[in-house]
Amino acid sequence: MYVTVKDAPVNEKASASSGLVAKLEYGTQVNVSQHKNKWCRIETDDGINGWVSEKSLSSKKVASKKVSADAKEIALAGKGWSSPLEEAYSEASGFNFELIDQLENDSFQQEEIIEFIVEGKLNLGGLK
Amino acid sequence: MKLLKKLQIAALLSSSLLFSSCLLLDLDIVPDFMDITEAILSDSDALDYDNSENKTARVVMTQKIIQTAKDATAEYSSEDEYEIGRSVSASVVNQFEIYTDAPDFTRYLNKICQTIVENSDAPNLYNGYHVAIIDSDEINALSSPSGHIFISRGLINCSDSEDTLAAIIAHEIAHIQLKHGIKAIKTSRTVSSALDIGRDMLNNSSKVKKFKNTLSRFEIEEDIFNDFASTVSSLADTLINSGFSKEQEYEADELALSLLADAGYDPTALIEMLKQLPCDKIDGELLSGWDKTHPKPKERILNVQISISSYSPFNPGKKYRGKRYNNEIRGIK
Repeated sequence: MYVTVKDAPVNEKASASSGLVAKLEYGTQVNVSQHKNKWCRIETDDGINGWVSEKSLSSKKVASKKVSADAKEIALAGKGWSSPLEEAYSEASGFNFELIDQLENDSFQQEEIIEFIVEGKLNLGGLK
Repeated sequence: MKLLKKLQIAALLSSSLLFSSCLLLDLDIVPDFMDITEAILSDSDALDYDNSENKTARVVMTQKIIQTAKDATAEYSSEDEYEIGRSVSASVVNQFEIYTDAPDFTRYLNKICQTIVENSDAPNLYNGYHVAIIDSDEINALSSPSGHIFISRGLINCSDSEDTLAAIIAHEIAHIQLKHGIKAIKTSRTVSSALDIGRDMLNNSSKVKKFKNTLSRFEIEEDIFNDFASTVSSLADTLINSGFSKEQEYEADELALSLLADAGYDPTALIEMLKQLPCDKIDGELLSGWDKTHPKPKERILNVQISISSYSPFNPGKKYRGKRYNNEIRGIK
């Protein structure tokens, strides 16, 4: 199986509220040994073990198009995400991609979302 | 398949279509690559010609069309969707200003969004879901395949509870999870965008030359760049001006009901929100272009009436969210 999200959290247990073991990059290949609820027990070639949300995995092989560590990446350092096409489009269009990066910088601690859900008498879903 | 490769194939398809100058296709009714291929093969004019050299060229082109049709209908990866969607979102923020004076309220919207997606079948987009506010009194809401959701202050002002806000967000999440943006790309680009790109290529458009240095620096072929740019602008135009099809809007409403209920919100809040929408008129004058991009609220209410009856009207948690909503909405109203 392959990771299909930018950074897939690997947790100690089959629960979003258990401890974080590592994060796996898009395209990382994993071996799945067990399924539990909507979680998969995985192991990578580097020896990372833990549980990943099944929604973050696909049997279809994927490979990231992100620029590799070279002069281009150094030049693009500080930007959230980049690809040659986007960089060319940004330069040609003059559109503000930094603003998009800022939108994506909002992040929540899981505890904050759980508190919000519990306070509003809503459902925890995958955060159980 | 890598996005660049797919775009390369699309460029090839567009140029091959232009060589078939005797085609009498109504491309508006054959949106898919495979449909175009079949239509070409069934159009006897495409293969009925006197010049033997032309005949050879057209047979070769037809074979290429068959192959490109098969390749081009392959699914985009989550990273592809994210890459295209980011540029579409950049187009949106180029046209609409983002409202940054209410960071707490923006955060509140994002918590509602996270609650809904955590209870959905697709909680993990490539880089998650993110909600931002458009600084406009017009009624408007947009979502991009990259997971970006934009809601105008005008639409937020039409809400009267957290559940009606959740209904707005759930509808946009539904568009993303149903991949309506990606489907719109596949439809529009095969008809008009690909042909425009092909024409530009053949006519050595000055637009292509203008970006030559940029493309050279990034080692991108001109036709690839133009196809990407055309794809992005085509989807941005769909989102901002024409909207999705009526069927897709109804489909998003149906999924929104399910998303709301699964998250613990009251699904009838969608109907409550739709009933509020005439609030965009002041002194009889329509404030927004909402009607351009969405079916009339009455039609949408009629569409979900049958489905809504299958959801329980009992939602005891609603009163706990009322106080929270009243505190938060003060930050923006």
